[in-house]
Order: sequence, then structure tokens, then C-alpha cells
Amino acid sequence: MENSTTIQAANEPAEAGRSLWGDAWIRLRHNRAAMGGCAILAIIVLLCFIIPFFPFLPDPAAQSLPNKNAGPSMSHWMGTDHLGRDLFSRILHGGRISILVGLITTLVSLTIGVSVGAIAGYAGGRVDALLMRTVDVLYSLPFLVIVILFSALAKGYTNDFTEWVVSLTGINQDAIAPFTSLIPLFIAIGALSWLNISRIVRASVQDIASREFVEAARSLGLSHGRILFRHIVPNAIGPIVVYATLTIPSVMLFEATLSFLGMGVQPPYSSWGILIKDGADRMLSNSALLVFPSIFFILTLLSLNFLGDGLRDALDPKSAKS
Amino acid sequence: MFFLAGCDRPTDVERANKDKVLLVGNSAEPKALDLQLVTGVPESKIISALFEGLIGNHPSDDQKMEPGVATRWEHNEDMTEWVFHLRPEAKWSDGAPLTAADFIFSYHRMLSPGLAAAYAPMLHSIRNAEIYNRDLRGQILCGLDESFPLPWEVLSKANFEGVKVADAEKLSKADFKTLAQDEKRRLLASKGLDRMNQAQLEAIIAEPGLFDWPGEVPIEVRPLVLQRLRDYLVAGEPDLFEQAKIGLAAPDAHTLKVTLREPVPYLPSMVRHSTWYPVPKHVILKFGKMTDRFTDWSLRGNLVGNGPFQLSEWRFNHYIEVKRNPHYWDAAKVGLHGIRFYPIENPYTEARAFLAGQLHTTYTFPAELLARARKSFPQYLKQEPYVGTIFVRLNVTRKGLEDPRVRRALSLAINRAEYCQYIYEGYTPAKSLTPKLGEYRGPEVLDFDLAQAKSLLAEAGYPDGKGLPSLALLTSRPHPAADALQQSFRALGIRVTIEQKDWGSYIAAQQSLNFDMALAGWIGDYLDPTTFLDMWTKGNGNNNTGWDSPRYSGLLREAAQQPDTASRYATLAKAESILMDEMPILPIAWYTRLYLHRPEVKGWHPLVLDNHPWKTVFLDP
Repeated sequence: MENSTTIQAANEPAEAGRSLWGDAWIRLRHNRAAMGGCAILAIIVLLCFIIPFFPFLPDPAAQSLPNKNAGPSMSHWMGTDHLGRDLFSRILHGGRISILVGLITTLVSLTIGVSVGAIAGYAGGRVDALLMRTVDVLYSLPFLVIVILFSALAKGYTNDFTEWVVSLTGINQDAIAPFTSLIPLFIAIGALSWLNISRIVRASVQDIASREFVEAARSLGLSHGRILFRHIVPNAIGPIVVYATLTIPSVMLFEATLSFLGMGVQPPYSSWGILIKDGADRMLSNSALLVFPSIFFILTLLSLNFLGDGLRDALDPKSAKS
Repeated sequence: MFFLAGCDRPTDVERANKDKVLLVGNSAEPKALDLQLVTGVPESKIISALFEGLIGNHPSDDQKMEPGVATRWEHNEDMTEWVFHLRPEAKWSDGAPLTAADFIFSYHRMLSPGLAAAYAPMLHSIRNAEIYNRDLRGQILCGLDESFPLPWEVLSKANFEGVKVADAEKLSKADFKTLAQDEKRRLLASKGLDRMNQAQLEAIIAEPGLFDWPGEVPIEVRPLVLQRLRDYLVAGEPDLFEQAKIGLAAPDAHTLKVTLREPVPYLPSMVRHSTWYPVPKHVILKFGKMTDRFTDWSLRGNLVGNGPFQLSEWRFNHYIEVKRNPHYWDAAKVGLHGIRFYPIENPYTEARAFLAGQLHTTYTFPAELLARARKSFPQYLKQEPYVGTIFVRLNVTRKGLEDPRVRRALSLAINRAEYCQYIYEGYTPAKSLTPKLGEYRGPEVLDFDLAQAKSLLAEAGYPDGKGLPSLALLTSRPHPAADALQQSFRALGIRVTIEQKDWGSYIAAQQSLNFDMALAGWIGDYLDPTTFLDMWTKGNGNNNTGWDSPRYSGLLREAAQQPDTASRYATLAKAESILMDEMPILPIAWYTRLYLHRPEVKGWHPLVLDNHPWKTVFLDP
């Protein structure tokens, strides 16, 4: 009986337990670059998604030719562009699209990539070979060409789709057109950018699948799906999150490239890529058109990269011990 | 050391100066170099280096005619018969002699209905050329045959060209034999005698009641007409060039006689255009039939021309290079060793390339950068008068745009003065289609009136644009005017999307009427208002609007008959007012030629048609 207390004491943790995420958060908090990136990112996202709802911000499509290429003023905080449209408003509205493109396509590519990678890594054998050779084939396709081809083909249907959505939901066409016109882009980029992530996930899953706790789960008679998505994938989340933060900026850059080639967002809507392209054309006459959107774009990309680096360090348990 | 050497690297222009090669910004990758099929300015710049017409361009005066392949030319009193004396030493770039027969072959090919050349109507003033080009076979087979019992003036009352019938398209898709009697009648009326097939002609021969004949055509003549058309179809539709008796003749190898259907006082100016250039028969026939479109004859290695230069390199989307042609009759006077044409579509990129020393002369210069250019590099900036109009071409077969009130409303929504002040800086707001050209003045009718535009739109049944589908505005490159138009039409409640295509697809989409609206420009080809007005007629390959008006083409025909220039211009102005009332096109601005040009390019002078003869240009750094 006297032993009972000691047993209880043994059951009590020597110190408060910390989850993987708790550990990671502590490590991340000490990484100044990552936290700075996080803060800047939060500010930019808030600006882009909140400010446009306030009425003081001018309509980004409203032209006023006599007032073109004006410098910063009270009514136009960053001046106006070559057609007299408010630059600040265009940057914020463009930012919404750029950020959405980054997020949605990353989500699409994560969904596909994680599923394919996890199944290939867990199943092994023929399934693995088949999936990975498919990935090899897709790797060999010229990414940019495929995306351009797909966007060009889908362009005709997106207008119909927009009108269909408008007739179905009664939403103002102006409000959704910039987003529905991007659907082919989401699909095309998402459908081709999951290749890297699938390989990363496959490698992690192969490693984790041979651990004891998976063996234990299997001996308990859990189904393959439950083992894979409940026990294995959460343990591979570190590299996935890191890769996601690195995919978002690369997709945003890619959207900029496509818009630069005239395949991305359709006017009068804009994205940061389009604004930078328009600004680059006109840098001789009004350099502000290039400088301001570039600042926003660069800050976002840098922040995401810092955050990604920070997360990688934070989520890697080995780095914590060193 | 290495770094310093890098700094001293000569620019492209400096190296080209040494090689005497002119570097020219040329906007777009040419669709092809078959001069009878292309319609764009970029193509014409290259073609004018590779080919030469009967009459050449003067380096400093558009009004002056320089001898080309022809050394001299004369005309009869009423300017309907022209004789061109070709120089005996003229040769193709492969050394083959160039004779009057080559010109006749060229015009034959240009006019042949099978080639369907967009610019062919420019040759329609040659006697009977239009009949042949439009394949009006009834007129050729019966009207031009003097042994035919009925003169054409009477016979032409019959329905040869077809009349408009509401369900014609549906009927022509169905099997002819299964149609009901009245459906057959309607279909045959819509076809007209010229376009019927063998079964249809035979049906009328068997059952004369299927086709309406005017009373003037005697009953016994009718089967004769049908027989001739049927026999022609049975014979496999042979070429009718000989039977058409076109006003072209070569009394000897170096004399070309052109007979016109009406007096054309501006013929020498028109002959300078590439439509009238010769094409090499011996090369074209080597690569296909005369009427085959886009065969390999115009590719590098195959193309043979007669101009001061010959094609030496064609690197797709990079550049096209031409080198001196040793067989050119005036080769001693050619000042350059070669010219490189760069297809830089974006004018801002082109301006940067120029400033970085990669080009001698640019295709254009963005008006937006004008103020900056005046301040920073005025020595390069050229601002010269130019005969051209920027306009929006409308496809009047599209829903909404078929109503002239909608088209007028669109035109009234464009604030041309503002466009010219802020987008097309230095350009003139268009008052009509034709810019000021000699003594000609078009009707000054174009205006900006949003209220009237809105009421017109409501009158047409689309109040505030409701009910109108969204329209796509086609452009060949991003242009602020496209965004501005989008906003201008938005003010009427009309939704416009911008559709950007590369030059070749942009032209093709318009020619196949596969567009709603297109931002376009037209540069005069010769010094007469007809260069702007003739193309808006039925069947003209540069019309591309689906619009035609009998009243309009009637006035143009009437003007063509008038020998007196003042009264001819008055009639043309009347025709133009119909065009500006019906508005198949929305003129926006009259061009000013804006470009950047390096001072070492000599022998280059302002020209309103901008057709600089390449042979007189030389480099003097």
C-alpha cells in the first residue's frame, strides 16, 4: 500500500509535456526573421483583404485620364497610374488575387501531392512504381508551355462559367469575375506543381512506415487508410508545411510570369504581376508604377521565405537538440 | 581588365554600322512573306525590301514617282489606258529575266478566286478584273461572249448573285432533293445562278418553275444560260482568266498595257503598293499550284524577289535578315549591305532596345513616353505626319452589334479628345475615318455625347446595356487604349473583356469574323481617299466587319466614274457619311508617326505614307 503514492508519482510527468507543435512554436518564437516575416505577412494580408471594404479607397478600375501619372496625394496615397487609376487601391486589389492564387494553387498541389506521395510511399511495390513513373513523365513536360496551353484552351469556357455562376447565385459579376477567370490557372498550376511535394512526402512516409508505432497500429488491426492518414501523414507534416510556405511565393512568381505574358488575370482586374509588368513598361515615364507594387511583392515573398526557413528549423526535431 | 573590356563592348548598332546593316524594329513576326496574301504593315516593310513594283517610292516626296521596274509610263487622254515600259535589264534575284508576262501572271494569281487574296480588290479598277475575282461566272460565260443572243445589260436583270432569304443557311444544309417545292425556290433564289451546283441547275432545266426570271429575259434564252453554267460545272470549273478578257496585255516582253474600266488618275501612286508587285512564276509553280495559299515558296532559300535585297536569314521570333541582291538593276546605288527586321511587339520593350543601342529605327514609340523623350533624348525622337487611322472594327454579325444604334452609341461613348490628349498624345482626334489627305475632307461627324449614347442604346432595346452580351475586344498587344475603351463602354453598362492574340492569330480572327470588336489601325496605301473607303464593300478581304451597304458601294462606283477630282471627292465624302452613320467601325484617332531614329541613318526623310525606299537609305556614323 505504501507503494501507491510512489506509483502515482511515477505516473505524474516530471515536467509538463510539450507537443511537437508546442516545441516548434517556442523555437519559432526565438527566430526573429521568421517572426518579422510573419508580422509583415499578417499586415499585408489584412491590408489586402480588409481595407478594400472601406469606402474611402477609390475604385481600382475607375479611370480619370486628366489625372494620370499623378504623384502621391491625400486622395491617392501612392499616386495614380497611366490611366489615372488609384495605384494604392490597385495594389491592394491585385494583392488579393496574387495571395489567393498563391494559397489556392498551393492547396490544390498539396492535396494532390500529399495523397499521391503518401499512397506511393505506404503501398510500395507496383503502385509505388506506377505513381512515381507518372511523376517522372509529368516532370519531363515543359511546365510553362503546358500551363499556357491549358489557360488558352480554357479561356473560352471561363466566361461561360462566370456567367453561369452569376445566373446561379446572383452575385455581382464584377465581384467574382476576377476570381472565376483564374480558375484555369488554379487548376493548371495546381495540377502540375505537386510533383516535388509528392516525392518529399513519399520519402517521409517510407521512413515513418517502418517505425514501431505503425507496426503497433497495424497489429491492432486498423485499416490502411486510418494508419496512413491518422498515424503516418501527421508525422510527416513538418516537411509539408515548410514546402507549402515555399510553394506559395513560387506560385505567385509564376502567376506574375504568366500575367507578364498576357495569360494570367484579365484587365481591368490586376495582380501584382500585372502591375509590375505595366510598371516596367512605363518606368521611363513614371517609376512609381514599378516601385510600389514591387515593394509589396518583394516584402511578401521575403516574408514567406523567412517564415518557411523558420518553420523548417522549428519543425525539425534534430535541429532542436543541436 | 576583364571588367573594363566588358564596359567597352560595342553596342549592336555600332557593330552594325561597321557592317552597314540597318537594324529595324518591325513590331511583329510576319504571318508569311507571300506579298499577295499578307495585309499587315510589318510584312509590307520586309516585302518592300525584297520586291519592287513598276513604280518606286521617292525617298523624300510621296507625290513623286520614281522609276521602278518600269522606266517610263504613259496614259491615254481619259486615263483608262496605261502603258508601262519595263527595263530590259530587270531580273529576278536568281538571275531569271523579269518580263511583262511575270506581271500578268502576278495579277492573274492575285485576282484568281481560288487564292482569295484580301488585297485583290485593289486591282478591281482593271477592266473585268472584278468579275473574274468575284467569280461572276454567268457574266463571264454569257455576258462577255459576243455571240450570246442577249446583251448583258438585259441579261444582268436575272438573279445571278443571289438575294437575301431568311432561312437560306438552314436550307442549304438540308438535302436539296428532300426540300419542299417552295423551299427549293427560296434556296435557289438565295444562291443565284452563279452559285448553284449541277444538281440545282439541272433541277431548273427540268422544272423551269423553280426559278424566277425577269420578263426581259426571253424564255428561249433562259435554257441557254443554264446550259452554259451547267457545262462549265461539268467541265470541272476551269480557270476563266482568258474568257474574262481582263485588261492586261503584253505586246512584247518589256511592255505592259493595262486597260482600266474607269479613269484612275491616282494609278501611279496605287501601283507603288505591294499588290501591284510581281511574284516569280517559276518559283511559285515549283512549290504548288498557282492558287495554293501559304506554300513554301516564300521561305528562306526558296523566296526569289526582284527588289534591292534578298532574304538571307529567317530566325523565327528573332529576326529576319535581308542582304543585297546582286541581280538588282540598280544594285550600285543600294547603300546598305543588309537589313535586319526584329519582331518586337511591345513598344516599351522596343524603346528600351533602341536606347540600349540595339536598333537604328523603331516601328513605333509609345505616346505615353513622349514627354520623357522630349526631355531626355530629343535627338532620337521623330514626330511626323502620317496617313492612318486608329479605329475599332466591329463584327456586325454579332448579337447587339448588328444594330446600327448600338454601334452609334458605342461611338458616342468614346471621348476622342481626351484619348488624344492622354493616351494617343500627339495624335489628332478622328472626325471621320479618312484623315486629311490632299484636298479631300471627310464629313466631320464624330462626337462624344454620353447622354445621347445612352438614349440610343435604350432605343435599341438595351437600356443601360441590359440584355447585351459581354463583348470581347481583340488586340494584338497590351495597349492602354484597350483599357480606356473598356471603361468608356462600361459607362454605357456594356461589359467588355480584353482578348489578346499574337499578330498572326489577330489577323486571322478578324478575317474569319471570329471576334466581337478589334482595336485596329489602317495606314493609307496610296494617296487617295479610296485607300480608306474602298475596303468597306461586300467581299473585300480587308472589310472583316460583315457590313456592306448597296447605297455605299453604289456611291463608290459613282465616284469612280467621275474624272473630275473635286466632284469625285464630293461623292466619296457622301459615301463616307453613310459609313459614319452606319458605324461598322469606330474611328478613334488619326495617326502621327512617332518613332525613335538614330541620326547616322541617312537618306531617310519624313513621308506621309511612311514607305521609305530601302535602297536609298545608308549609314554614316
